[in-house]
Amino acid sequence: MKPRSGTYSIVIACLIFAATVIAYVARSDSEAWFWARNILYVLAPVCSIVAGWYAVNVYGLRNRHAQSIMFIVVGLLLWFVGEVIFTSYVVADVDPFPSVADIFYVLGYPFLLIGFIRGSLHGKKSFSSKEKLELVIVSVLLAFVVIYFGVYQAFNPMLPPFDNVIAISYGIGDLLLLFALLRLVIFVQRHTPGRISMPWSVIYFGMLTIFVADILYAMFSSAFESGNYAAMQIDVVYVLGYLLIGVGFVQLGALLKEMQHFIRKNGSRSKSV
Amino acid sequence: MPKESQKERLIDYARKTIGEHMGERTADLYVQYYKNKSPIEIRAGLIELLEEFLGRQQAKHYIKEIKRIAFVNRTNQ
Repeated sequence: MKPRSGTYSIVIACLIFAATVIAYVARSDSEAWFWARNILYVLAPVCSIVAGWYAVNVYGLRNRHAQSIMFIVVGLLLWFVGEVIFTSYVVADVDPFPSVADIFYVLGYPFLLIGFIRGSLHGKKSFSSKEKLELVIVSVLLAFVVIYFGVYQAFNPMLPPFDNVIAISYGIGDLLLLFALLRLVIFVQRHTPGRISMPWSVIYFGMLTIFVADILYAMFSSAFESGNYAAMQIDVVYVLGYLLIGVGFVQLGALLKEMQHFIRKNGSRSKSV
Repeated sequence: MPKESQKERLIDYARKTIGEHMGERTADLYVQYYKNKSPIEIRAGLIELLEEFLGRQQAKHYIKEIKRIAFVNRTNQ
């Protein structure tokens, strides 16, 4: 029978996302909804970590791609620890910024960077002139947005220097991550219509969604911290990002499983179609 | 024996390429399936698999190498 883990992952992700939307849209102050929101928020990164580990296992630990995914998984794990600490502060009604959670968030960036750069480095190494031009234009535009919202807006002269360093580190981390993700776009472009391109596109959109959530958080952080319901919907964007990454990793593992299944039966896939 | 060496080289190349992109487990399965097949079948299966997984554009580089292995052995015969 053809492996179906890819389909299941989409169904599970949709269910978690639907539950998250309901929990956040409910706008109820009851304790049950409060816990539901926080549990779903922490569950999403767990899904992406488990899915990443699944992809690593299917590849086999010695594989170069598996090692790249491992770096991404460690980065997500550090973010997860950050999310748990952040959520604990929220549950305890303590201001979560700055806190130990920020150290874990910031520590996650280098691992994600290495993972995405390594993951997108294979096949043809050099960029064509068209790709270089695309990279420069998109990088400049996005760098402007990130520097404005993530660095300039994040800096507050009224706050202690440490708080500012932490706040700006997010902007810089996102900026570097964005450059790594641009490499991933080129990787996906080069491999389309190869089947490897689809899971990485989903992972890319997941990271991009988290990146958008970071910008939204930077823009509306004061409203978010004061418990404004509209601003709290940013969490839904984070959950979507983590779930997309999870779906991408499961799709990647499922694709390899499917390839293995057809090789075992027919030597290659198309012979059986 | 040139025919055997061509098959071995193709199998080695398939193991290396599939292992690099799809993991060693997939490469082992490929070698297992094709170990008793002819070099033409090994070559066709490998090209098909790489084109499907990596896309035609990225597979080109590997296909060139696969054809080179086949060509070198044909000239050796």
